[in-house]
Amino acid sequence: MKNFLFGLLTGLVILFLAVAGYLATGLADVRADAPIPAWTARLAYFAIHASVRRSAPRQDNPLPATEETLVAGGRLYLNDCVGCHGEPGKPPSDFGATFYPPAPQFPSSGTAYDEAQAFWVAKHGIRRTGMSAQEFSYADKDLWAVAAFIRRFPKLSPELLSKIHPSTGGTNVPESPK
Amino acid sequence: MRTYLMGVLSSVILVPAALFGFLVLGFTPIHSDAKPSSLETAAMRFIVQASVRRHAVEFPPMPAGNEQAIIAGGKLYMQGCAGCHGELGKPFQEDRANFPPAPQLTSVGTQYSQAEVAWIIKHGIRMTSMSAYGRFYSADKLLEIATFVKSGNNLSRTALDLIRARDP
Repeated sequence: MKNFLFGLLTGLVILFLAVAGYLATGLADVRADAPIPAWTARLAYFAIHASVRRSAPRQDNPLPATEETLVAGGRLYLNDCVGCHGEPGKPPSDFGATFYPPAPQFPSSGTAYDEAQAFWVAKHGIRRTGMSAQEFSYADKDLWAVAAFIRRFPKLSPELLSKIHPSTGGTNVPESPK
Repeated sequence: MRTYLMGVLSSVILVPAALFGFLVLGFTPIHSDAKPSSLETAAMRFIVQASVRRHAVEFPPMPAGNEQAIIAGGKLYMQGCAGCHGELGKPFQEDRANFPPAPQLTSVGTQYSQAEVAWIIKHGIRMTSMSAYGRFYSADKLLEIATFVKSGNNLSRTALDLIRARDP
């Protein structure tokens, strides 16, 4: 038994030294402009989804899913999210692709989160990604509207989309955030 | 000896398994509106720095920037970087929305060399909000921004005015 415990301890020390050595000598690549290995991406996204499911409130969107809500959410999306998450009817965002992990492209792929989860992510952000917490810029009501809008990608009707575009027609995707 | 080796094997298997379980069951804290602990901050800084030192060799080491490069870089900074890394001449304001927070370069400067800063802008830092700008800026522009960043918290009044001045 004593030997077993010594072995256990040795194992812990070996693990620690291996990881610390790898990191301290700079072998870990920190470049963001490289593809994510498939297994890392799968594990990371799974962990993030699991954590969001655990943390987000279980509730319905307090706002009614009216056209007014969706247009308000859509305007906000067009204003502040398209730079990374992609504009409806346009090719995926170049800028969003430069993050590691890359920003999900809602117009083409939608989201797996329900509205409360999307709201929670928008409000609190996701650690160790480019997704910053929006609670410092927007009221809850705005973020609920955006959640309602994003949840309906990629099936939003062209009529609705045409209503959220400013009358000038089209917006410029910024080269950098904000 | 045999039980000893069993012990070694157990921890080598159990620790990653526990970590895996922790991740998959959703216990990882992920909300970015929190502050990293000082231990985490120090560890991350150390790890990123070690990696940048090892990898950032594509830009030659350069002398401190000339005034012209600082001003050109400052203009680019104001357009593309100030939103997260701090406005020129504004007091220090902590970034609470990103995790890890974006360093406020105009207040605290940087510990990286000019060539390393250019490399970081080009390639980004994974698992942070720092994305890779290589496809948006030429090598010259990357170096101008880096030149500015190296002196951004220590600028003369005239340089500041020239950076803020609109191009004719």
